[in-house]
Amino acid sequence: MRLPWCALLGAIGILCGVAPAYGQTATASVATSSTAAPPPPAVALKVTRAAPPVVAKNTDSMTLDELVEGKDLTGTPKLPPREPVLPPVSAKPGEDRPLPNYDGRDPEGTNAAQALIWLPRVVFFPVHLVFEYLVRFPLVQGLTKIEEHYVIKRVERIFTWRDGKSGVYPTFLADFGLRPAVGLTTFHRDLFVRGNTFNAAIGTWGPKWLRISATNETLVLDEDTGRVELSGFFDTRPDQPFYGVGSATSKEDEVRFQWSRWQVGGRFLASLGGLSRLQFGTAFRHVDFLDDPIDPPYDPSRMSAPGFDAGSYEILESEARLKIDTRDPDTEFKGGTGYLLELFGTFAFDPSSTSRNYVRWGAETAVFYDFTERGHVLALRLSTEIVEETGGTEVPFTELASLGGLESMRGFLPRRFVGDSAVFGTLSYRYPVWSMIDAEVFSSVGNVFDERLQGFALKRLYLNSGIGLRTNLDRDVALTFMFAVGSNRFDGLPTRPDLPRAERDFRIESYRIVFGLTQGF
Amino acid sequence: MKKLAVLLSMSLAACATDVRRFPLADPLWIDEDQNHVPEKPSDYYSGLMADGADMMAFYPLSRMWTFPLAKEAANANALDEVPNSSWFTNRIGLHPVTPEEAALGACNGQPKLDPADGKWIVSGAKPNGANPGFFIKAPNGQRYLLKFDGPQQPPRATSADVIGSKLYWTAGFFTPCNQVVYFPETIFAIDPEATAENEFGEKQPITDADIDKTLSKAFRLKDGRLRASASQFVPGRPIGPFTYQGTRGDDPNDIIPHEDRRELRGSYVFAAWINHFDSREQNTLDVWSKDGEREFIRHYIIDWGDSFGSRWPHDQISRRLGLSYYFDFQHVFLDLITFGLIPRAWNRSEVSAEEIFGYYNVEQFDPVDYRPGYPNPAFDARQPRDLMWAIRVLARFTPEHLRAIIAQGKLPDPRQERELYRVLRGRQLKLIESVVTKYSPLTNFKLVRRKADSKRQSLCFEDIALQYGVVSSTVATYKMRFMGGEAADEELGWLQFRPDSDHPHRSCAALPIGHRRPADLVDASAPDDDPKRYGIMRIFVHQTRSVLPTSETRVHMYDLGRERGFKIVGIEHPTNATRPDVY
Repeated sequence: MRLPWCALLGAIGILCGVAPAYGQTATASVATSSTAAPPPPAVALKVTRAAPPVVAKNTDSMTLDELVEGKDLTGTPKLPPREPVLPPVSAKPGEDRPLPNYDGRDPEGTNAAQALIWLPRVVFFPVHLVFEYLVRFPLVQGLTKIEEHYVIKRVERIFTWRDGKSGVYPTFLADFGLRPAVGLTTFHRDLFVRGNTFNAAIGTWGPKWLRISATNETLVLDEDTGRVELSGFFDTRPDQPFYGVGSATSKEDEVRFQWSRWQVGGRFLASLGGLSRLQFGTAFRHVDFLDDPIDPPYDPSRMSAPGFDAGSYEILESEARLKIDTRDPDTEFKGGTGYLLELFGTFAFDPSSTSRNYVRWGAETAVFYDFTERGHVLALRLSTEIVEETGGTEVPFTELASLGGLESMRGFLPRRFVGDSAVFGTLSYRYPVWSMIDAEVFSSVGNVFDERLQGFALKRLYLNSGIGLRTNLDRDVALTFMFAVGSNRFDGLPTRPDLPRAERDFRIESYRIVFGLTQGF
Repeated sequence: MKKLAVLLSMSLAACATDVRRFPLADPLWIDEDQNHVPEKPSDYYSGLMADGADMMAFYPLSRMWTFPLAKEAANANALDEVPNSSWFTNRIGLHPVTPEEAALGACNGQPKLDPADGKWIVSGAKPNGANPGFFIKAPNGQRYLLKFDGPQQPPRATSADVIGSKLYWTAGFFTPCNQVVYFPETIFAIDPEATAENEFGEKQPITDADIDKTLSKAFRLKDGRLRASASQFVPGRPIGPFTYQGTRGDDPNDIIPHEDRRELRGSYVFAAWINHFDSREQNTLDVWSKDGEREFIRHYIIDWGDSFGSRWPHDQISRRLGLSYYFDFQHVFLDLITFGLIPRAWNRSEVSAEEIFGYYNVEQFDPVDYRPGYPNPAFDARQPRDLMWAIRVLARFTPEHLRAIIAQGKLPDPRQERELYRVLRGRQLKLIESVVTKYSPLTNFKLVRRKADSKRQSLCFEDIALQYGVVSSTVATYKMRFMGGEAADEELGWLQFRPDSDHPHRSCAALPIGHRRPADLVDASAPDDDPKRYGIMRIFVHQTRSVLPTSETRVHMYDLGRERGFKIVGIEHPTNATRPDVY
């Protein structure tokens, strides 16, 4: 059946099946050339089949080596020895051996690219020297010595004990616009009894910036279904921003104040399965506003900061919080899809001034959709918080609802927005960029308003957007980088209210960069 | 400016040079790199962290300012093959190797490690690595490193260490003799002098408690016997790993930058095949060897324990092994700026039906862009010709070879053996397809006189693409042009044919293919190496119906006349097939 095809294809210059393949049962005629160029159209010649060769087995699947074994292979290059053999000596002992001419040919000429490439090579040779001898060599040698002498393990041994259940590690956080912090955190798992965890941290940046915190968490119900947490902290900071109270504050009105506060408290957390939980807690907090002059200082004539003039206050508060979260608790990879509903209510009063009391309540709801089930999570989150004075004495501005910081409206510094109520919505998309790092892009709108969101209007919201990177190895401790920007209010107010509307355009009001180790406790 | 112009003109002139003829000589098969070195080279320590940081950041950052150009391997001979050396010995690539030989690997001729022979004396312990181990001295007089599986994916690690060693040995690399052994817990006796470094580098005496602790995590049969891989000490004194770039300054035999060695570049294919993502310098070994009066360095590849789907505690890392570096700047950057929307193979990977093989699979395997744990300079320097060489070797592994070698892994469940075979075979096919459908699939060229009384030679070869069925034999076509003359630009004959359907992977063409042969162009008294006796058979391979060839191979021959016939002196596999002027 092949012959007619050969004739047909031969006519168009392609011949088939006519090469006398070795082991083939036919000595096929070949479509071959004349000596003149161009070659004439190939003609399918008559194919004659010779008598089949005598072979012991079916040759179709045999390799060429099997087939030609014992044949005259004159002209075929010899093969190398099959086993390692000691080669002839090519140089005197200790001398560099000469470079063999492996293929036996004259060296290949230099082409244009090979010639021209020397131009940048010469120009950038000093750069190469710098990277090779001032960067690469010392760093690689240093790392090698560190490994060779087990330096990391030895250091780890110094900073961990109890088979790694106790230890201490350094922390740092740079939040541009605020003072940075360096510190130490110590952890102790299964301390005293199994299931009891104690963590403590200290952070500082100069004598006026100090934070000390401690948390002890004890399992009280089987299978991690109930925990009691006791915690306390003291901090004093000289760099706290404040922009006034209400929905129409301005970046230009920023002032800084110092405060010092301490708090002790406890709470009970009952697991409702997965990430859902119910918790009750109480805490006592003492706050002092310090009057060291800070630039720009608080000026009562320009803005009102409720409670600041009193110099200090104390709060005893009790809180109940219900959180329903249907996402998979696995922190690693799966189950990013789900919804979240969180409700909370707090009653707080000042024991030294019982007329100062208020309630704080609010809700948060979110939907998460992991559209690859591999950690690409689109999330929409809505949150509101309302503080209502119930005793007749004004609530200190530091206890009012606020937006900004690392939890909400991240394009702004903490307490950028302070008011009786706050609302914000965030659309975010979290996705893995490396095995240990997730990225998140987010965009939020929100603002604070008067009591119970009075005065709420879309045009009175602020916008902020950003991108963040976060290690995903631990739920509580993460190395974080974030860059975000925040806008002025949609309606152009309150920036330059004196300007005509057309000139009060939407603009970026705030830039924020955060880098460091953030902790969940 | 004038100098630049001269330089340019010289360069352009060089571009226009005539064909580079191979000499009338046998190819260089023995690389003379085992001269006596009077002074033992110093020990070299390589750390994972230092080497990883160097290969991922510092080395490329420094090297980029030298504007390196891609270049061919430095040690390919006239047949585009690798000579035997202190690095490599041609085995299955050029010689028949039986499945039994492949299964024995480096253990061929070595004494067997038999637990029935007596106690194994523990002389030390393995200080680092993912799995713990002991150094033992066996009654047969040999020393071994015993490695155990540990709690993760048993007994993948010990099987992988053995199977990997056999595959690499069969391919031609120097490897230790690795074998799986089963033994009773009571077989160990501790040498009173035995010490081991603890995790802080401090030497401590080995105690029974140390052994018990290690054995408690080892894989155990129902009858109580324990399982380990035993890696026999290679002859000589270990002096640390070899690097995958540069040369060793204190070894006068080591004059070719390692990244330019074809066998190291080509080992990319074997690492990709078995997902030996741990193919870093720490898993190599230079051994100060002695042969007769000569002392020199021999270069080994060791430790395949992480191959075949090792899983790490962090699943996101496990998924990426073989697909992305531990920290892959390119992938991180692209995923960051594209919001992770690029479909990634590691997101699609599923754990194997045989769980011990983790994410070792065929489906997500990318033969073109395989990435070990961190960049390997020799892998990164690979050129298509290096891949073609490695694929020619890889293609010689038959199902029988694979089954025989896999059996050496002594996997306890036949389903695991079947799955490993399936994946190995599948990845072998993918690797082959990725190369032979782009570059020349032709190999094993021979000149054969088909009848004892005939002087007529046939040029025979095999086609890997057809052998593995990655190209249809009904489409494949060969177009041969035999070029001769002073400048090898005169067409002496041509031939076009399709492979025979009975045995498409084997073809032969009777020579000469035209009415003229190079010997006709010269007087019979012309010397054998007269340039006019030189002919180049350009074989264009068409794997599609396109008029453009898929690839080309050039077989260089001298025509010594009708009596003595042709002699092959060189083979080229150009990476860009160019059509002849008249086609």
